[in-house]
Parts: sequence; structure tokens; C-alpha cells
Amino acid sequence: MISTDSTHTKNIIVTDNLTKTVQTPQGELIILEAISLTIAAGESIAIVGASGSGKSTLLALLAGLDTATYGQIIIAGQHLTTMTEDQRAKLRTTTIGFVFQSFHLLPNLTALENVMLPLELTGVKQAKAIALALLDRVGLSARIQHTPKHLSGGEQQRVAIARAFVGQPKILFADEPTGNLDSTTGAQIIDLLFDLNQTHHTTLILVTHDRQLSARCQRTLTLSAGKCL
Amino acid sequence: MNYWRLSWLMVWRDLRAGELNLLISALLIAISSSTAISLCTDRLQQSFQNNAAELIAADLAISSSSALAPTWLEYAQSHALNTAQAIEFSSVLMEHEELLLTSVKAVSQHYPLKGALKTSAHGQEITQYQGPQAGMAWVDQRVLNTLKLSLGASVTIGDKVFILEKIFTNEPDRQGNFFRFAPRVLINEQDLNATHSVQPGSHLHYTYYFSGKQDALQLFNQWLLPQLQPDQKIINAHDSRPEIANALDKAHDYLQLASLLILIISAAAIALATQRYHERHRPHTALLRCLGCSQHELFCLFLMQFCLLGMLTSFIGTAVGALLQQLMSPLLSQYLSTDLVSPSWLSFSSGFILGLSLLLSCALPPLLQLKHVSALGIFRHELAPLPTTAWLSYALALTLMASLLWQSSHNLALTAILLGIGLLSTLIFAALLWLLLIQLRHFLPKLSLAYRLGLQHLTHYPALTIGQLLAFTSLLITLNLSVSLRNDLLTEWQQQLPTHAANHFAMNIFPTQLPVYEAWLHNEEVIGNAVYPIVRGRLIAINDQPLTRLAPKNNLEENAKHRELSLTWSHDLPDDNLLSAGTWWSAPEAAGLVSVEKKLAANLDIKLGDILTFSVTQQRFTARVSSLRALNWNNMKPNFYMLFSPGTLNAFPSTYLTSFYVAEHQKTSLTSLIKQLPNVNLIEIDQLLKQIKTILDALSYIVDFILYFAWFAAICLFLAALSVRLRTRQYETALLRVFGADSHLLKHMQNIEFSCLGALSGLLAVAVSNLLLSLLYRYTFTIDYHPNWFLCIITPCFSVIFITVLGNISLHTLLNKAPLQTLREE
Repeated sequence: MISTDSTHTKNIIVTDNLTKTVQTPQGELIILEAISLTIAAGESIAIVGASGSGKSTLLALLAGLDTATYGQIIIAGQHLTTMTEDQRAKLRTTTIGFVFQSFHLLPNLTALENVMLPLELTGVKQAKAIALALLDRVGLSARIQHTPKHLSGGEQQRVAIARAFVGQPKILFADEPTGNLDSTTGAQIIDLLFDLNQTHHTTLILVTHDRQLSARCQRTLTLSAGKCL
Repeated sequence: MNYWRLSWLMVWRDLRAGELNLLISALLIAISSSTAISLCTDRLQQSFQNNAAELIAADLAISSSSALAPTWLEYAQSHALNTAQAIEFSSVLMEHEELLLTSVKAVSQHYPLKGALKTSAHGQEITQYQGPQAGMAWVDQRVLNTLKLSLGASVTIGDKVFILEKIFTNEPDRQGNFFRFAPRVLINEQDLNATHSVQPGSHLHYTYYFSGKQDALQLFNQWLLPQLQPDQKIINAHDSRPEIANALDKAHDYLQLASLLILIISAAAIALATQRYHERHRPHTALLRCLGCSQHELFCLFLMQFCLLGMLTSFIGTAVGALLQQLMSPLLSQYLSTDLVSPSWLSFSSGFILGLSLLLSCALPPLLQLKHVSALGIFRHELAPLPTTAWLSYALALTLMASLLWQSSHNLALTAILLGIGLLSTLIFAALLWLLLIQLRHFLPKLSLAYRLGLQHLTHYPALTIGQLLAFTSLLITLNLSVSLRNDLLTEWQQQLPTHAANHFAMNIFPTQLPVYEAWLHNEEVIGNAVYPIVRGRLIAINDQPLTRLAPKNNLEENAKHRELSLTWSHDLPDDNLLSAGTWWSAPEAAGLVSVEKKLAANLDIKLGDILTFSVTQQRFTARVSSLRALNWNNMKPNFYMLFSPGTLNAFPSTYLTSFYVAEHQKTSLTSLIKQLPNVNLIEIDQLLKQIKTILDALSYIVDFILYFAWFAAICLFLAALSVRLRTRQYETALLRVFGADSHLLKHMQNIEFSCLGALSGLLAVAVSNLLLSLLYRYTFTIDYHPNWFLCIITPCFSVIFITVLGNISLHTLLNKAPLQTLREE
């Protein structure tokens, strides 16, 4: 059992015996097995490993996008595993930003509306001004009224990054953020990600296959067959 | 490529994965409901026809004032038709110094061909399938009472002595002639000559009865028509009881309409479900294209899948429909006096053909649309504009739909109203909705987040929103039409036979006997209707133009010209009479006015202000037409073609006619009435009322049954419409969750979106249903249309609640699902 007392406050993420299994017709399949880790605030970590090693699942569990089978997760001093879906959603608005490999922008909203969304969900009054500033920062001030359908992959990922940072989250999760982009665009996106990370003093946790990218992080966590090496 | 094997494999995998649930449900509802409706209506129609035949004692009868040529009967017999005949004449019986004018009916051996005679002995009613033997006479109770005779005694008719064998209580074809004033005496045709009552110049009435197979009857009917003389009339089962025929016709129209509506909404559900099927199979299709599958091969592959699916569901749907109909049979047969007949094979096959046709006509256009799109295009959801072939396919689907509707309804007007108005209003409302949604976009930024996100769902996909709206609207229209029509038909039928509808007619009451009759009503606590004086007379001229010079247009006119009419007078307009032209007389006005029944006036070309000449007991008098009236012939109350102002008929002797209701436990009190008023002709119509009531009950039952099918189809359509955007909705909900939206906001968004859809659909449905109902009531059901304000208010409210609640239920699981699961499925 882990506690949320003052000794852990500098650790923004703590997991204990984190396990994820799924039921298949052939029996129980272990995706993640007994992962225990601590991540300090402001740290940047790359999670690497072969396909199917459980990287994306670990990231989703840490962000509260999925539920663990066993074990505990404490994010910014709060027990994530005992929370309801609504409580986890609330925690994400204040603490967590997420960048997906396949961007996942809301198709019926413009670039500006997509970026404004997290702020509007928390009731921030100057949502539009903040979102505009951030879109300008990612170089998309000319494309604010475009819907995702009319943006290139790189542009969509910039919007997604702007959306992830707009709420000034304490932790940013990125799941293979360059996986769907060409190398030049990918490099630009990574520069942007690290640049914003430095500006906002965010804890960055990203999943990647890219060695260069993982080398830019302070720590690398390697997963193999659901276990932390 | 082994198409069949691959097709079967794909269908099987989809079945196991639950991908086909919605499509199969929509198909099963369409097929099973249309099979069950088709089977039920087929069986009921045939059974009702048999029932109605019992009311004229045959399938077809000819009424004539002269004997038919022997060749007519020979023709009928050569076409395997059974024949029987009856000859009626008036005869005065005299016993114990009492005189009584009776109506004698001499019947042949096989009378009645349909239905049965009823006699009573020692208080028990006995069913008889043949008339009296030679030498025997069956008589009305009144004959015994008036002539002071008892059973076993003898009575002389003409020159022949008969033994009074039985008390005669009912003859099947008596209902056709309620107001026969004289009491009945039934004898065998063999004795007719011995009575010497048939002499040249005798006033006789002949009825010839025929029964047999429908084809032979139709052939005989066609052969007869051109040969009929003016005094000869064909009576068929349909015309014999207008109140039953009317109810049957309306019920039939209702069933047709309900099955058409179920068909339309099932077709919409099938179209939406196939659209979803194609949507779900898009990656699969693209992948097959990448693997080298040609467009032709893909087309064949999907076509076979749909054929397999169509055949499978058609087979199961037909079986389910037949089973449902079979389960209903015992319930239905308890409403009918005759056994339910077996349904025809055509009714069985209709559901099967329908299922396959519906599926293919809905599934083919999207397949053709994929023809000119690259594999990458399919992956990217890029669809080419509809090719000409797909438009042709849609046109073909529409034509097929129209012909299916026409085929199942056999009613061109009904099909045209439904399809024409339906299509036209769809196009108009689609255009209006498009404009509304475009305009709504401008207001969105001013709204709060929940409203903006909720309404953005509607404005961002206008085509899908309009499709969904029209689907919900058509669903509500269907429910509105079926509920409105059901209620109005049932109300009409209930009004036709209220709980205490008169079950006895009393005729021939002398003016001096009226106080006795009224005292009897009072003492026995019997509910009586208005009492009308009756003078028997003929209409002989209109504006001095003798009626005989006018060529008859139909039976009604023929009857009015040749038969005596019951003439009456009244201060007030009787209940259930509706003044359609002119004014009702006020008390001080002079005598000499007449109010004529509307249809008879139209047939005889009688107008307001015309002078009609009547003949009563060789005396003539005239009256000016001051008004025209519409009558309700179904109300079981005395109704009159000619109603005079008070004072017009004072010069003529009259008797009185009335009707009253006697409950079963009060029946014994009738004996005291008969004793006090032995001359009164009392007619009991309990059997007829019971028969009408059972038929109406059966119709009400089946109308309700059909309504349940409409509800099933409606829910299926709702789920199909909801499923069209389900994936997008799930995806967007999951993403909003990722960025912190709580369930309160998500529910609020959904409620806004669904309430808006519900309100718009509800309002549209009210507008279109009122338009359709007014047309259907006027042209198909001939019922007066009054907008149902309750339904106008309740429909949008119901629509908002129904769509919001069902929408919430179907999306409930989404709110408790971890977002990653949904995002991974995308």
C-alpha cells in the first residue's frame, strides 16, 4: 500500500504493483504485470519497448484513460485507481494533457474550438484569447477556423499539442506523437513539444520507438512483455 | 473466387459479431408483420364473407316480383352452384273469429343455403338447417297469440290446412327486411299449389338463393347483370348489411394503411441499417480492393451476402408471421360465429418476396456508389457523387416500393396519398431543415458550451441530421396515423352500437295503445326511443313530373319508386339526423313541408323547393322540400327517407313505430307487452346485434394487434436512426472524456441534441400527420375530420421524451466506459 503523505509530494506519479489483464477466449492475457515506478515532478521520461510490450496501455493507465486490474496509481497526490470515471475526468482537466499518435481532434470543431475545449470545460473566461495565443505559438494562427478535415497531419498534431498545453497541465502524456508523421514534420513536432514543455515546466511522459527522441528525455523506461526492465 | 463460400463466411462472422442485429431486426419486423397482417386479413375477410353470407341465407340472391326463367337456374346448376328459392305472399288467416294478415313464405328443400333457421319449443331455441316438411307450418308467436292457437293446432292458408308445428323465431335473411309488418308463416314449397294462393295477378315476391365457389359465383353474377329486369335485384353478402359492410371496409382500409405504414418505416429502418452495414464494412471493402478484388467481384460478393441474408430473414420472418397469426387464430375465432378459414398460399409468399425486394432495393445503391472510388478513397471515406446507375437503382427502389405498396393495398388512392404527400413533404421539409441548420450555425458561438456541443452535432452533419429527423418524423407520423385512425374507427363503431343500443323494434302500435305502451315502459323500467307515427305511402311525382317516367339509376331509386315508404312527421329534428341543406321548420309554420334524406334526394335529383306528390290509400297530397338530411343508418334507430312537418299527414290513419332496449333479465316482461298489445309486431334483433358486435370486436382486436407491430417497427427505426451516428458519437464522447468532460455535461449535451431532434420531429409530424389524416379521412375512410388537439400537443412532448429517454438508455454504457476502449475501436 502506498501513501500520499509529504514524502511523496515531489513524486508526481507513483504506481504500485500495477497490473492490467484482459479476458480472451483462450484465457487471461497479461498486458502489464506488477509495474511499480515513481516519476518526479518536472521529469521527462521516454517509455520504450517492442510492439505489444504494453507501453501505450501503461500511458493510458497513468492518464486515467483506462482502468487497472490490480495495483494503485497516485497522480499529484490523488489515488487514481479508486476514482470514478467522472473524478478521473475532473483530474485530467486540472492536471493532465494528452497527445495521441492519431491526433484525435473533434471533427466537427475548428482548430480554435478544439484548443479552447479544455479551458471551456473548466469554465475559464478568457478561453479564446489563451487558445489564440497558443495556436499562434504553434504557428497555426492562419488556420484557426479550419476543421481537422482541412488540416495536414502535421498541422493536426500541432493543434493537438496546443490543446494538450492550453490547460497548463502538470503532466503531459504523449503516445508516439510522431508515429503518423514524416521525419521532417516529426522533428518539428518534437522540437515544439520539448520547447513548450520547458516553457510550462511540465512533467513529460512519452511513448516512442524513436531512439533520438528517447535520448532527449531525462530517463528511459523499457518495457518487455508487460514488465518493467 | 468462390463467392458463395466467402459470402456465407462474411455473413456468419457478422452474425456472430452482432453486426447484423439491427438489419435483421428491421427485416424480421417488416416480413413477419406483413406476413401476419396478410394472413390475418385474408382469413378474416374470407370468414367475414361467410358470416355475411349467413345474413342473406346464401352467397348471392336474386329478389324478383316474377318467377325467374328456368334457364337461369339451369345455368347456375351447370356452374356447380347450389340453388334454393322462396316465394312470399300475404294471406289473411282466420281462426276463432280472429283475422290476421300474415306474410307467408314458401321455401324449397335446400333453404337456407347458408346460416340457419331458429325455432323455439318449450322455451328452448333450436337451430334448424331446413324449413318445414310438407303439411307443416312454422309461425311467429304473434300468430298464436292473435288467433288464440297453440302448437299442434291446425290453420288454413288458402285452401290448404297446415299443422302448426313450431314457433318460428328467426330466419337468416330476415334482417334484410326489418320492417316487415305482418307476422311470418313458413311453409314448404310443395304445398304452395295446394293453397291456390298463386293465381295470375297475385302479388308475389320471389327470392332465389345461390351458393358455391367464388369464381363460379362471379361468373354467374356477370352473366346475370345484363339480363336483370327492372323488378329484379341482386343481393350479395356485402350489400345486405350496410353497417357491417361499412365497418369491414373501413377496417380493411385501416389494415392496408397500417401495413403500408409499417412497410414504409421498416423500409426506412432497413435503408438506415444497410447504410450502417456499408459504413462498418468500408475498411473491409477497401482492403479487398487493395488485395486485387475487382469492382464486379466486390459487387457480386456483397450482392450474394444480401441475398443470403434476405433469404434467411425472409424465411424466418414468414415463419414468425405465420406463427403469430396461428397464435391469434383461437382469439380471433372466438369473435366469429363460423370457423376461421385457412389462409391462401399467396398470403404466405407475400412476406418472403417483400423481404427480399426491400433488402435488395435498399442495399444496392450504396454498393453502386463505391464503384468509382479508389481503395484509398474508401479508406478516407471519400465517396464519389452518385453514379447514374445508383440513381437509377434508387428510382427503381422507389418504383419497387410504390408497386409493393400498391400490390399490398390494392388501393391506388391510398398509395398515391401516402407516397406522393410523403415524398413531397420530405423534399420540402428537407430543404427547410437544411436552411434552419445553416442559420443555426451562426448562433452557436453565442451559446453555452453544452448547447454549442450538443447542437454542433446537428449542424455539422446536416445531411445525417435531416435523415435522422425525417426518420423520427415518419415514425411519429405512423404512430399518429395509426393511433388517430384506430381511436376514431373504434369510437365510430362504439357509437354504432352503444351499450344499450335498441334491441327490439315495435311496429303497428295504434294511437290508442300509446298510453299502454308508455305505461309498460315505465313499469318495466325499459329504455325506450322516440315514437314515430307511420303512414305508408308512395312518392309518385316530383314537380308534377310522374316518377315512372324517370329512368332508375340504382336500387335506392328503384325502391323509392316501387315500394311503399314509411312516412312520418316530427316537430324536432331527430337525434343522429344532420341537416345538410335548407332549414328545419319552426312550430308555427304551416303544414306541407317535407325533409328528404340526402342520398335519395341526390339520386332522384330532388332539390330544395321542389314539390313532391305522394299517394296514400289512393289519395294524393303534395309537400314542398324544405330541407335535406344526412342519416346514420348504423344507429339501430328508426330512420326515415321522408319526414314531414306536423299537420301534413293528419288526414291519414297512422300507426306508431319505436325501438327500445330490453336487458336479458327483463326479457320476460315482453310477454306482458305482447298480451296487452297483441296486434303489435315485435322484432327482436339481439342476434343481429350480437353478430355485428362480435365482428366489430374482432376488428378492434386486430386493429390493436396491428398497432403493436407499428410500435415494434417504430422502435426498430429509432434504433436504426440512432445507430447511423453511433460510432461518431461514441468517439466524440470518449475524446471529451479525455479532456475532462464529466457525465453531467455529456448527458446535458445529449439531452439538448435529442430534445431538439425530438421537438423538431414532433412538430413536423404534427403538421404532416394532420395533412395526411385530413386527406385519408376525406378520401379513404369517409369520416369527418376534426384535428385532434390533444394529439397535436402530446406528439411533440412525447417525441422529446421518447427520443431523449431512448437516446440516453442507448448511450448510457458510454458514460461508464473507459475512453481508451472507444478510442482504440476507432
